[in-house]
Amino acid sequence: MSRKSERLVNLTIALLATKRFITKSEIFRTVEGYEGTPETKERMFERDKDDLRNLGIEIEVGSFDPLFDDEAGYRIRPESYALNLDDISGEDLALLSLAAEAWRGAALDGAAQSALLRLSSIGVVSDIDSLPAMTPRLSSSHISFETLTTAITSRIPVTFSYIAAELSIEERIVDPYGIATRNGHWYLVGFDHKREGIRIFRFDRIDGDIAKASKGKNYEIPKDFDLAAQISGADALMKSEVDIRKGKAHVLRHMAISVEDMGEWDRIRISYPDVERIIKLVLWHGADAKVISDDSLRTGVVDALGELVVLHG
Amino acid sequence: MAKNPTSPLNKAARMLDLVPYLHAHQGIALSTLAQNFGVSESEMNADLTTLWMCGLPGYTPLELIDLSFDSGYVTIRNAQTLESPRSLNKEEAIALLLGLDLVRSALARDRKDLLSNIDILSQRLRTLIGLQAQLKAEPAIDGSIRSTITKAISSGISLDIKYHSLYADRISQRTILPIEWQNDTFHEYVFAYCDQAQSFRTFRLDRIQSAAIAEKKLKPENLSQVLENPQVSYRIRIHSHLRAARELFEFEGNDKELHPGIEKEITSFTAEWMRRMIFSAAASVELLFPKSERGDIATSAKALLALYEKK
Repeated sequence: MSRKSERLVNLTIALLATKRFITKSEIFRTVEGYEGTPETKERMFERDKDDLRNLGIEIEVGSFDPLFDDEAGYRIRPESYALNLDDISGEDLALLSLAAEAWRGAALDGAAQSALLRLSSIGVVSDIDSLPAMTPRLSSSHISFETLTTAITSRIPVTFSYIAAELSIEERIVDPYGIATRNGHWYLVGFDHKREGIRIFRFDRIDGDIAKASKGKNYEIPKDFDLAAQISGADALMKSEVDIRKGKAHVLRHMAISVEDMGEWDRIRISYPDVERIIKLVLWHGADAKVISDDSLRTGVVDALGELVVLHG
Repeated sequence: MAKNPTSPLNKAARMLDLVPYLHAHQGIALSTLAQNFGVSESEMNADLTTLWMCGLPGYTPLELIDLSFDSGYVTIRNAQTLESPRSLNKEEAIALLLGLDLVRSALARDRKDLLSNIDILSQRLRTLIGLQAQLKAEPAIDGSIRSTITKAISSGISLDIKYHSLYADRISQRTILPIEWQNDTFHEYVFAYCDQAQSFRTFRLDRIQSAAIAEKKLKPENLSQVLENPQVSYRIRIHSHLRAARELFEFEGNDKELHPGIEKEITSFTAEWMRRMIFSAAASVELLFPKSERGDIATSAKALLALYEKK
């Protein structure tokens, strides 16, 4: 067991230390741990290369003499092997530690901790005292981040089953553009192939896990794509005026762009991307909120009230 | 994503990380080292022993990594090739990027120095893994607060909480006796008896900054009414928007059983809350029982409609 891990470390050292490409036969001759028939060694080496690549170590393949059809050679460039984040200050390190700490017990805990170990090997002392005291936390999720993060960085479309509004299960193929959390939920934002537009998916509405899509080719993320705006609805187009009772309807008040004092009431202006959500909010606040404009919100609320009367009358 | 610490690949990865780490922390205690790498001391010992046998081809004593771990403290020499820490893989960089964004959103707006440092760091991490995609994180609710409150509800314990009132923009200390969880489409709330207010209040979960068991045991007089006559049962019929209803009322069990027209039993302490839930479901959910509540919904909906028809 430890033979294999020892061989991987030795192979890494050998490939890192060499200035030129070294060939497979040189590796078999000089690196400790390659034993058995030529086929066995061959298989061992192929697997070792894959393993190192899985660790994120880039093995360069080349030939030492471009003029001849030589045996291929291998090496690891120290520049690509080593962590290079330019100058890291103690304060930077403290910020990164805090960032890693946010994952404690959540999905990427392992990855965050191993990143932190690497960062603390640079030889800089973390200056945690320079930061305000805070312990932000990320929530966990059942989704494997590994598939998703690889897909995002390699621009590979993903596929998953999504629970639609009426609980029917729909297969979706999505080009992932980014992931985000909001109000304790995780969201995936991306281009939905079937709907031909950008859609937001909540992780807990994904049934099962996310897989790489078998078809669909690499995509580009539009230059003007703004994740924050998508998630918060900052590019909201709809605008409305709502009267809310003083000291009430705080959720609506919190959204107000402007507030006008009307005595017993305040008239607020809000803008939002999704009229359904605002209809629900206004209804939630009952007699404390009244829509003044625009028509789509007003009609939505009036229709729902009408239906409520019919249902319960 | 529990990783098996003894798998050869994880072991190799750990040994590669051990070299630069030891280099930056010469003379570290074996116990601390094991703890920081999240393995047992014996596993760490095995790693160090293996590492001791690694080195440059040739494997003469001159080429081998030189480790000494006398009396529980570890130092390293002769490991120049591996001295720099390994670069981050995509998942690790993304974990840090999301974490940084979370820290960013938790920082006060006036810490411009830190905010700009975070931007620079994020940019470098992005460059490192060639990431164009965007990541965004916001503080989630502290899981420990949630479990403390849940425990308090089930065993009738009073809690001291720090509560951020957004509208008064003030943080207050309160002693509360949590009664039940409530939620609307947007947030979770705790319905509780508040000692300071001498009355029942709802607290938004994400504004509770800390919760600890209180010394003072709250036994408010009018609480007995609530507790003796606790949850009222409501019967609802779900007409559409099944997913929203499931999330709103937190149905457990098999989702596939939900279908339009299904009837469900729900309980709540406050009629007020139930009424708001039914209203905000925008006629996708109908209240069947109790009859008096059902009538109230029709009456208040009519009254609200009248407000819109006036004019």
